[in-house]
Amino acid sequence: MEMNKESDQSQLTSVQEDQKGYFFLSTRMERIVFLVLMTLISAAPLIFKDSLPAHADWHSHATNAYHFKRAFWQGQYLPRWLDTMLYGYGMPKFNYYAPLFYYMYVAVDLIFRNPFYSMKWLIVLTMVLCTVFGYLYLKRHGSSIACSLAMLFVIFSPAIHAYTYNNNFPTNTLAIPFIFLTLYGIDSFNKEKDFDLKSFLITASGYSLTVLSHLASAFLFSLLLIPYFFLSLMMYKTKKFIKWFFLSMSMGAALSACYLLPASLETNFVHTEVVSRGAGWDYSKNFMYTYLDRLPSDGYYWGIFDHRFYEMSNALFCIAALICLVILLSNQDRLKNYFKEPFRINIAITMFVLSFLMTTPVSIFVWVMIKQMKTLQFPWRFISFILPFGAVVMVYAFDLISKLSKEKIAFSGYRFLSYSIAIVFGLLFYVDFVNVFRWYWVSEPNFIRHSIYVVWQNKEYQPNLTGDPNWEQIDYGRDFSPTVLSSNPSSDITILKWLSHDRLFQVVSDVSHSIRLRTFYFPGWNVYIDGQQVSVSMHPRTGAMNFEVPPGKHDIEMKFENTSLRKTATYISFAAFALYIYLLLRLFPKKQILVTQSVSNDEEKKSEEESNIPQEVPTV
Amino acid sequence: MKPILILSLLLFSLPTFLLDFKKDKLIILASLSNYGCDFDGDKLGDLAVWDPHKNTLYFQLTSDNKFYVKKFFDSDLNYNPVFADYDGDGKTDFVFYQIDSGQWISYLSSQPGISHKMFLGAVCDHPVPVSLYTPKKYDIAVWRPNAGIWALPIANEQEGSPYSVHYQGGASDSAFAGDYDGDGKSDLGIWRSETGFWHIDKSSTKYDPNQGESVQHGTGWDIIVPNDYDADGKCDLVFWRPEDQTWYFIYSSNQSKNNIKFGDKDDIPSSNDLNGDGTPELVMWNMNKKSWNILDLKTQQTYSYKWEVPDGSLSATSVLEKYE
Repeated sequence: MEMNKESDQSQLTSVQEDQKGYFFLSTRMERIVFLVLMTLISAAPLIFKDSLPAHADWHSHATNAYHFKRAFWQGQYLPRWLDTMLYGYGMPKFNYYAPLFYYMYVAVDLIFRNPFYSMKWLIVLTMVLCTVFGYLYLKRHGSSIACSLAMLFVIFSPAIHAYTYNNNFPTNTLAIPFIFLTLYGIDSFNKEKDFDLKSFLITASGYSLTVLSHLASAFLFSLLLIPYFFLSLMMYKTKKFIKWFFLSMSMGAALSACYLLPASLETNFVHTEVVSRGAGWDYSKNFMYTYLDRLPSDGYYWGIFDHRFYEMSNALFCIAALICLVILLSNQDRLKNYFKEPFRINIAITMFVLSFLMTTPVSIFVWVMIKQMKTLQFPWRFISFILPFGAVVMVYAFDLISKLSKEKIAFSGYRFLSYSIAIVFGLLFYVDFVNVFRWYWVSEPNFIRHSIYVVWQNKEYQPNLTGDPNWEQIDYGRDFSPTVLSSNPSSDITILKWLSHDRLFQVVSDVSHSIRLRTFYFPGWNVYIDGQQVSVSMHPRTGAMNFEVPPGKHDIEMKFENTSLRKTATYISFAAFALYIYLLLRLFPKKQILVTQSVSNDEEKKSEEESNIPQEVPTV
Repeated sequence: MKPILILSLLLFSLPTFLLDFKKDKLIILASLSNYGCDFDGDKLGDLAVWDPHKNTLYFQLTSDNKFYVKKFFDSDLNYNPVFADYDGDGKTDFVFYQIDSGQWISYLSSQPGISHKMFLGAVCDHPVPVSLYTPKKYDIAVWRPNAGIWALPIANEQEGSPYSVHYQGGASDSAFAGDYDGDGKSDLGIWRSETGFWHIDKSSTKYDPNQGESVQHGTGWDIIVPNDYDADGKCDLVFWRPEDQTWYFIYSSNQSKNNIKFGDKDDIPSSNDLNGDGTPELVMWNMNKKSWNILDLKTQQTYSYKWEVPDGSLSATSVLEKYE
């Protein structure tokens, strides 16, 4: 209720309130049905087709999901190590790869118990989340009808639609609702309060969930939040905002620290250099609206993103936003009359233009200057930010048009622009439709096989331990060396426990011997003989673990444990989470007091009213 | 008070609830029963089921018609039975593959009371025994689906390894080893569910993929059950389709086709020569009903047996490629 009040105060009164009688999307139920229906249409091919779109990264996510779940149920509740990767040598994939989507998979799979359907409905769920949080964010900026109409462009946006059907990036898609949530939190900041706890909690959770959904999106989002912060500061003009903003961001980062810190600070343990190398991953060849990336010699990589669809759908979204931008810019003098916070429009326009430019070669200087961006590879990742800012521009323009339509002005030009936007949406829908059915759709049996068998051996997550410059020449696929190998051929090895992160076996040998374990000696792996930790050496070529065992019968346990950094990061997250819950609980009692107060006030009023009612005169 | 009680009960029952649901539904992808299953060596196939939760085998010997229960491992580890005759004495040996570590544990009939342990393969690999030297005598081998590589028991002197690799297939395939060309040695084959093609690299052509054979037969959820169904000494390309509960045959001798409708939707198909007539019967194990349904291909007679075994027991008469 409080939030709606704020929204009402800061924005125009809705069109709905100004007009009388029926008109399209005038009721809340109608808008809900409309948005649900549109989301369903957007997700319909996923829901109704007996297969899944299989274009770019589908097998990677199929594999990740199944093996994350496996590790989770084996007791790695914060899975970092997947033993199934690299033909049993294992990889610390989830030390680096954002896990939220896969946690959701674990939950969804409890219902479906089938990776195919779990993945299918999880992708649908991310699309639904985009609609819910997208609407919540847009509603902060305009009337319900304008938001509902702008949501059409969000639901069928390339950021959601192309990510889902063309690129198969469900983790990217999942980051979008939380980007919406973070922006919603920032825009809800109430400068009248000493410390706006509610928007603080919303912003912090939105930011941490963005990090946990997709790190690359979160990194780029953090960069974009710098100008967004200064622009917002120009509007709020209070030191309270500076304090609030940095505390919100820090809280968000702290909540996700268990993943964020190791992923950012342990990159030297893996071959991250792979992702900034080669034609497929070169950011300079991934700018949009350019022919730089169309070299036939680049081959397959360019097929996976198929820029014809990608660029076309992005261009259409941006054209619609551009038309709205022109409407707003050509009415700069009127904006003050119609909007209580016209500067928000300038912020939205600036952020939209900035995000758009970051996808084009115009931004190459930024890409060259900021080293880490090379690792993030793709300028088109900025379409995740074109989406919220472009949609807000649309909301403001739609509201402005509806206001102008009531003024005595020549409206034919605006009518033409409105029809143009409708036509652009029609084209966007058409391009989306063609895009959906253009790709190969993987059948259930094939999807399941790809889930079980780790097909995608991401080299960027391969441990960088040996310092061997020719590490890529080692073919682990044809390495059938024993998982546990003793130098004494007559030793007896009995396996007692064998989990992804914890293995226990008994060894009997009449002489001292060395044991080779077919597992990468990645930081965190420790070996214990009869409960005593022993020193482990590493095979110089393969990176496998070696250690010495005295003669006799011994219990050997190898455990993947947290390094001091991972441990600290996890403690930070726990502490932040506890604080978050404490603050959340503080927020609720306040409300309860408010409610009780309002109830008691009502009762007082009621009793006052009752006392004012003239006493009924008894009839004789 | 009541909500707290209900919530506590729910929380306490959650682990039990999750235990049932954390595993996916069982899906059988391939059933390799061409190794036979005759523990007593009387030339009559024996029936056996494996309880993966208790690592216990339930089997019945045709020689004495007695029912046996044998717990092989007292641990929570997952073992898959990979039964075949590994010592060449005509009796099927109890050999198990630990799917996470790639450890093989063999109890050979020729060496009672002794277990042999060795490692070959890693997590995600498939155990597929092969007969490369002596007909009907098998050696352990694995197929790595994500690399499309076999590790075969052929000494590789160059690399100083007792195993050689052979490239075949990929992650969307099921692998099998059967004597397709009739020379007494295993040929290596894969079946690609997406296209329905069987690709076979034959021992007679030294597994040269360029001289291999490709046959299109089956698709999707079909479960391959290759075996020599016409007793001509050659492995036939056969699958069972759960959708219509039908067996589809292509006989390798003349490439003729045949269909037989037999089985229930939830059955695990396999084949085993139970009556010793030289032709394997179609053997269906139903996990839910805990019953065997057998079709004698020669007499067209069917037999049914109900067994009292634990829930979730799987047919052990074949090497299963399964998912859960």
